[in-house]
Amino acid sequence: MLSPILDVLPLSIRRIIESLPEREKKDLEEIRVRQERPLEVVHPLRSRFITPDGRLVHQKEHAFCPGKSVCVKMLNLISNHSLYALEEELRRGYVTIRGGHRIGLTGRVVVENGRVKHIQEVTGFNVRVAREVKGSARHFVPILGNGSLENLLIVSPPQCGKTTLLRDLVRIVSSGEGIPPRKVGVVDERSEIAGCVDGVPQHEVGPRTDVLDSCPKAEGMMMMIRSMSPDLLVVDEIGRREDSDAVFEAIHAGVHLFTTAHGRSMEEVCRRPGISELVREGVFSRYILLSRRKGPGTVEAVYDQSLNRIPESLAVRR
Amino acid sequence: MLKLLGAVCILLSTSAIGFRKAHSFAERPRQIRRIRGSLSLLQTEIVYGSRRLDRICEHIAARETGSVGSLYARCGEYLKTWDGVSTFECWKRAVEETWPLMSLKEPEREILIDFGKTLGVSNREDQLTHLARVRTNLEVEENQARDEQLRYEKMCRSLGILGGALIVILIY
Repeated sequence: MLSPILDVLPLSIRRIIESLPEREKKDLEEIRVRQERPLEVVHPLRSRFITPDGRLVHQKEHAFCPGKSVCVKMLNLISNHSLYALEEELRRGYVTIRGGHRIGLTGRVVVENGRVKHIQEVTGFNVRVAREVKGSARHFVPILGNGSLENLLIVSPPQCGKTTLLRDLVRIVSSGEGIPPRKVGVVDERSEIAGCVDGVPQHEVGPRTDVLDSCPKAEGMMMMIRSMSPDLLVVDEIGRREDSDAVFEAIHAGVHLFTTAHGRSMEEVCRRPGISELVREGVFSRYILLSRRKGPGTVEAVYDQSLNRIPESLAVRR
Repeated sequence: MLKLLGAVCILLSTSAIGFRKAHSFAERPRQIRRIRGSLSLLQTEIVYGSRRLDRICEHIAARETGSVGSLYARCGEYLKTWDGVSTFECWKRAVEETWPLMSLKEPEREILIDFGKTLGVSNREDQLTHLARVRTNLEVEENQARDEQLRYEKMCRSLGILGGALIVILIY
């Protein structure tokens, strides 16, 4: 699973990562490369530095520090020596590679007319290992509705597995596991749900799924409704004004919606102007609240349309 | 009889040297023009195609024959197989390895190697300016090379034959 990631790591870092024990590689979450600073690897609930001989340590003194040439090599490998082809990605600050993994980039930003043009000297890389947890959403099938689909909002702080859960829901609905199969339209603004490379989904999103990759959400939802006649629209991380307008538009067009929002609790989410309106209007009929209490993907609660808790028996932890 | 054979040998070899020299004078502007053509192709692929550099190199290598083609073929191969080495290294190595096959001179070599420093490492706009600069520089060299061709090509050829004749007359 790590092989697409190893391909973009410079030799010195690749060797170190390869020398990690299997179990450490298995639940690796992030590899963080910062120029002249210790190489860091992140596992669920802990982060450690890594020594040149591949030991994980907490002290930064013994850690391997990649130099400038390593960072340049890494950018070369990520871009395939073709930075000009990554203009859009450099503007957004991340690149999606084969396997749907994402690499966040930092460095010196070049600004033109007050807008980010691109990142010039890339000195920080955050390799986020994308994980498909097939079946992670199976427990939620009973709450998705028997006749028609429910409109679902997944609420969670970052890194609690909401995109993983959403992706599995897409797969389940699209392939019809336990429910009638439906056409799904995914508007994947940040290439996280389907992890497209050259427009081809790298994650399993089901046979009846159409993906608009790196398309702005509000515009993408409209495009989907007009052109692809989806039964279910899936978007990640709504929150802005135009997003909620598009959501209303979609709901009135009779399309169902699965989406996510950042937040630690329902109260917090309801305070956000874009979303509070949607909640007040009763757009969503199911809410899932996630946390990281027992590792990523811990289900804290499931609510119905009027924010009443649905019995725990349905909200099983995977 | 033997003397005559020797004289013919001398005449043939000096003429061959002269013709070869003349050929390199004729070949230089032609090769520069081909490199410029390949750079236009590169530009189109970068600006409109937005393809990966190693694929572009392969594409150009397939279209160009001879030494220019092999320059791109090598560069593409190094880009693909060398592990994260800078684009400049790959390009430079390719230029250096194909150099013996070319009839180009030092200025072109410097222009080409210098171009490698900017290849692929910046955004599209920047690539465009660098490509335009290289092509203008090469154009200057091409004009110069063509002047030299006019001046020296014929001269080399005649010098080869006449020089041979001179030697033959002197020693006969």
